[in-house]
Amino acid sequence: MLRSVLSLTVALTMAGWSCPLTAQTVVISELGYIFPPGYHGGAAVDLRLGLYDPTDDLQFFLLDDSEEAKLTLHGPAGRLLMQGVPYLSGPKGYRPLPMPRERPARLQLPAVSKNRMLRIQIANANGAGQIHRFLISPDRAIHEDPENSTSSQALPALPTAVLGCLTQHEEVDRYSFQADLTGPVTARLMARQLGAPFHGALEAHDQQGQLLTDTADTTGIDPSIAFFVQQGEFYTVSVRDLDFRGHRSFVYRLSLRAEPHIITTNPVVGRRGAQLPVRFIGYGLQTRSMKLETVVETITFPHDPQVTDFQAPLTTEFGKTSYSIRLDNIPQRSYPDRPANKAPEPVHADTGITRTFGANVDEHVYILDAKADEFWTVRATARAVGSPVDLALVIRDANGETIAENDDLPRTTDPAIHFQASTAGPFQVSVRNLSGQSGATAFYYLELRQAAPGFRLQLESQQVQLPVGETAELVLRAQRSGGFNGTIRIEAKGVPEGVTIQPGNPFEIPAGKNMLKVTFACRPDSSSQAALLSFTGSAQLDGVQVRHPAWAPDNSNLAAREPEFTSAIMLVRTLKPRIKIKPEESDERTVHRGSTHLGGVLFERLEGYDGEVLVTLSGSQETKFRQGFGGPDVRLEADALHLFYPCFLPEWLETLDAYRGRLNAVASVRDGQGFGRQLITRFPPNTSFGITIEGALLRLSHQSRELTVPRGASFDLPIRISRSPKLTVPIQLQLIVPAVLKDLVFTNPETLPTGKSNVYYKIQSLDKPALNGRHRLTVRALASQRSALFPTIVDAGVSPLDPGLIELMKQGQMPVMSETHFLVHFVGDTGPAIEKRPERHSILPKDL
Amino acid sequence: MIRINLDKHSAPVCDRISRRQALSVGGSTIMAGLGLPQLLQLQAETVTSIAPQARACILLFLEGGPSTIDLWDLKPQAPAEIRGPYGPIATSLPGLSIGEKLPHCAKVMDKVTLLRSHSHKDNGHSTGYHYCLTGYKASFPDGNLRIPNNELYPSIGSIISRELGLRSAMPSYINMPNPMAAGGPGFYGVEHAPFVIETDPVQPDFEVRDLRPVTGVNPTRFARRRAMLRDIEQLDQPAVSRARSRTMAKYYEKAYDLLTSPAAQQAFDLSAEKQSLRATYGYTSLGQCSLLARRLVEAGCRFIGVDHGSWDTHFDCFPTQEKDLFPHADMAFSALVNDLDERGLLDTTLVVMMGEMGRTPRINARAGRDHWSMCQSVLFAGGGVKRGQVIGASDQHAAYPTTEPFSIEDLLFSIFTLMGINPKKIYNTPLGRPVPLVNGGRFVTDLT
Repeated sequence: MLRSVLSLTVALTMAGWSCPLTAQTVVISELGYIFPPGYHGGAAVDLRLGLYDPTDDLQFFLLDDSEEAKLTLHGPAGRLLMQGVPYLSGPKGYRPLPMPRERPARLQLPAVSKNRMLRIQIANANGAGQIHRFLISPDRAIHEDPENSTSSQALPALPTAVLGCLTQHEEVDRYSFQADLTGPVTARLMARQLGAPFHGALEAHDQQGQLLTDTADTTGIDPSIAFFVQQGEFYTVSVRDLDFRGHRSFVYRLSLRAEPHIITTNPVVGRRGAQLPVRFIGYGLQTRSMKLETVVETITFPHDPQVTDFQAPLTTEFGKTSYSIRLDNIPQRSYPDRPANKAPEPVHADTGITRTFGANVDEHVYILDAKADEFWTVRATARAVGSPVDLALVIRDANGETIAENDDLPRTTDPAIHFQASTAGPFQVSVRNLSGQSGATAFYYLELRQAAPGFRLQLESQQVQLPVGETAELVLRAQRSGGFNGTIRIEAKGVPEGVTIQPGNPFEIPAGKNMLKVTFACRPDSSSQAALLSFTGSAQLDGVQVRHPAWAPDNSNLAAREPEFTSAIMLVRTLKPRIKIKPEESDERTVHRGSTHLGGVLFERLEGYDGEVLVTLSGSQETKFRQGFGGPDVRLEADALHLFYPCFLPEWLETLDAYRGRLNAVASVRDGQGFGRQLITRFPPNTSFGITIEGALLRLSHQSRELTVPRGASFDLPIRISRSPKLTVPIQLQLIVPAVLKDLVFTNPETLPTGKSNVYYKIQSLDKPALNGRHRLTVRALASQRSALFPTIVDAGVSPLDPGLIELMKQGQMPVMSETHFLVHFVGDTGPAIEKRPERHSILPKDL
Repeated sequence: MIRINLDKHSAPVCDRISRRQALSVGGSTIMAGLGLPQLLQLQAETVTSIAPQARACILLFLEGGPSTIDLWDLKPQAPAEIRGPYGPIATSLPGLSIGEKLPHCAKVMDKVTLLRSHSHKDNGHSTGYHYCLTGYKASFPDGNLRIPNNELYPSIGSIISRELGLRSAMPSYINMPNPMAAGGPGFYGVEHAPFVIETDPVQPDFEVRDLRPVTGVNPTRFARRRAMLRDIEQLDQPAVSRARSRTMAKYYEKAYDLLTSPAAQQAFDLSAEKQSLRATYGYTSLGQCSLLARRLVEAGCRFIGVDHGSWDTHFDCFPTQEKDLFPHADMAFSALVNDLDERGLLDTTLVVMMGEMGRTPRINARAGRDHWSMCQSVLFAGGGVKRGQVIGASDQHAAYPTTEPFSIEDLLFSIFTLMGINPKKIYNTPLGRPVPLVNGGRFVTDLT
């Protein structure tokens, strides 16, 4: 054995290559979810923050209007939460979502008059996570009943909303309500909008179980359904993942309103102060058929320039509703009922056009009469206004030559073009439909504006990762319009002490330049705390000082119809990793079910770090990580470079395929200002403990059905112990009881020597009323072998393992475990224990 | 005897010439590469009877791809990054050396034929598995995880089951401990599907769940239930349900046969074996499966496929190989050969150990070996195979055969021949497409 290892080492060295520790993988903590995912404004709500690989020193930031909301943390993060049954196997189970650790918190919310998203971000000395979202709504919502996993949860009268989570695979959350009125009901799911990474499916059933309607989110935009209800009847709406997956991050808000389902209006934009006939398009507007219908209502739009959206009211046969319409100052033109017209349409400057593509029409052409040197902005929107059409824009000059074209702007399928007319004359603006869709839902909105001088500042990233003692760059771009070419003065706010900006603060984007690289420099003795920055640009436009913030992309809305931005920039000062960690062997080892495998782990110390390292199971696992693969929290002693990590594989694991698991290494250091920081690295990509499962070494079983036991009585449970000849140590039996039975049902620990395979396990109970009822008890058999290779086990509050196993491991024991479960029905009378067969209800003859 | 079908529904077993087959003169079977003359010729050949030498076959399938250069065909003169860390050891066959991590196998090589020039071009796991067990290239890309993945072509076990039928109350075709990825019956239908034990014989409480009588159901009740089920199946049902009932009835019949057979119960009772013998096989999944396979052969099974995974060693492969994979295979194979021999069963039981591919001769940058199917080794023992010989050779890096390469088709051809099955026999798919048992192939030279 030793010779083999040596010869391989020699061989590899001779061949000019080796297997060094690959580049360390720094772990960035993430805020994966918040439950509940929203709450009504003006109140405080207790939250569970679902954190992936958190550190104790996490900083939490509320990005926008933070002065109005306040987050208070209530305790440390809990243990890793493993996905419960049922488990996925095959391709669906190959890429597991992370295992979270939940941290309790309380959020004080401002009052709001309409839905508003609160952005939350976390950071530590390893980096900053992605932005997460929390909904503040004006309406109250109820919570999903977490105890109800079988029947539908009754909802109060509509309108209502419920905050829920699809926690387990195959979970379907069902909600029932009784209709107060006859008419349409609209159910809307908000999940991806809240950052929940699942594709929702909605179904509505009547009280006979008949499916009324269903839909599934196949395009990444949260689904809605509408169905017709009869007064007094009961209905059920169900929510599930499209692929029947579940995870604690699959949070949602389901709203139910007794109203038609409006999908758009024509025009989609209203002119301030105008009175216009508006065509509402949707389901349940005119009849009970729940087909796509239209209703025209004259709407008077408000004058107020501060109002950006208007809730246009609509009264139908089935009640009142409203639909949010964006407001603008430019004239609006719509083409509600005109047949397909391929002739170019003349348009004037500053016009908004709402139009649909008819059958067999894939292009609309408009004639724009522009003067030489004029600047124009042409923008076509479909996705942003809820249309499924994929648009492209082409501008052609009078000779038919293409002078500009655009298919998609960044992060959307909607196009826009900014152009300067080189000569006077008519230009063709071509709006092309690339989706092949047509009809009432294939609509778009076209804006043609003569561009006024101006600018917009945009940052390439919302985060600046600045290593302490080093520099980092941030690219700032100026999108100039309307011929503006002057200097833009930029001022950064929130730059923390110890950090400087080159070329100074404030600084300038010179005239004629559109891009500037901003360099951040961090002093070596600086703190490693993160901070929020903002940039504001100002310039003289036609003699007027104009100020605009710089915007950075915010990708937290997974169902965004158009790019979203934030002005809050995260400057995170990072510390260099101190540890590289990798498995000693990355290929598959054979391990018996229910036993412990000691996997070798190699460490490399960096930056002179020689302190202790906490080694834990990583929350973010790679392909083929299977639920059940667990291990304790382990301490790598100071200066050590190797340890054996105990991987515990439960007895119920499948033998069909490999199990993989990877670890984190946490080094605790102090930054330049003495703040304690935790630095996390994990196994490099494509490396892991690889384990193939074989049959168990130890099996525990019993033949009893449900036992009926008088309270206060003792009873014997016949148990069979099967053990492999490889297992030659005594076995301990333990009784595991539910928390409610603690101290009411008990037994003496029993040790079974080798060779004993049958035992009557004596269990005692107290005569307490709390015992009444059916309870599921567990008998656990534990065998353990002392191993000199065992590392130092600590309890850092991360490991998902059973505390009993952790205690055993702390004593240097490698556990082998098997469990068997049985039902006991405790009754009030005293008397002998009776083994009772479960009651059967069958139409078959009794003795069949 | 071949039977050709004229039934327009074209049942898989045929006794007359179908309209489709008659039309094939016009080219409708060109896709299959066979015209009527060739078809008739091949069918005529199937009449030939072959004296069987093996009554049963045990296939130890090392899924993932074992490394021939570390196991059976070492190249001590090759550069370090090719030869790996292992040296050769002498074996009981004079002049033959194998890998030092196979000390038990080294003692039985005088009973074994070692084929060192097996070669094919499928470097995928699922596609290679399909190819090895059916003899036909997979029509799906690698990565297909459906089990069984051979929806059309029957597996070797199903073919043997169909051709040789039952030898006792035992199922003729068994998979253990899991279903083999390409072990399905294909178009032969469920009656030739494997019986899968679905549990690991290494487990101390090992029992085949499907053989355990339902608690509280005595033989009389059991018989009544069976009769009632039969009555239900006689009821008027729509055509689809009737077909489903027929399919299920075949499953039920298989299950009843097993449940009511004392021989079957006995065959699966591994605890009846001496602990010392069990230990010789190794208390591993492969070891105990191999021992159980021997018991099943004794009880009358025709083909037992043992699926043993984890041979896909891309990273840090040497600790895995020498701590788990090699010792498990070393003990299981050698114990099986010896045990069969000592019981007088080796001459009538063919043991084959192979994988769906091999590993690259050159060790990769992460101390593993990747997929390589161009040069592999296959072990044959018993069943009429010559004792103590090496067939074929490879180049200086064990990368390519330097002698006549033998393909999957050749291996299947040889196994069928040894079992008295005509490899050229043809069955028609339900759509009338003729499928020979082996798509070409020839007998591996000097195997017997």
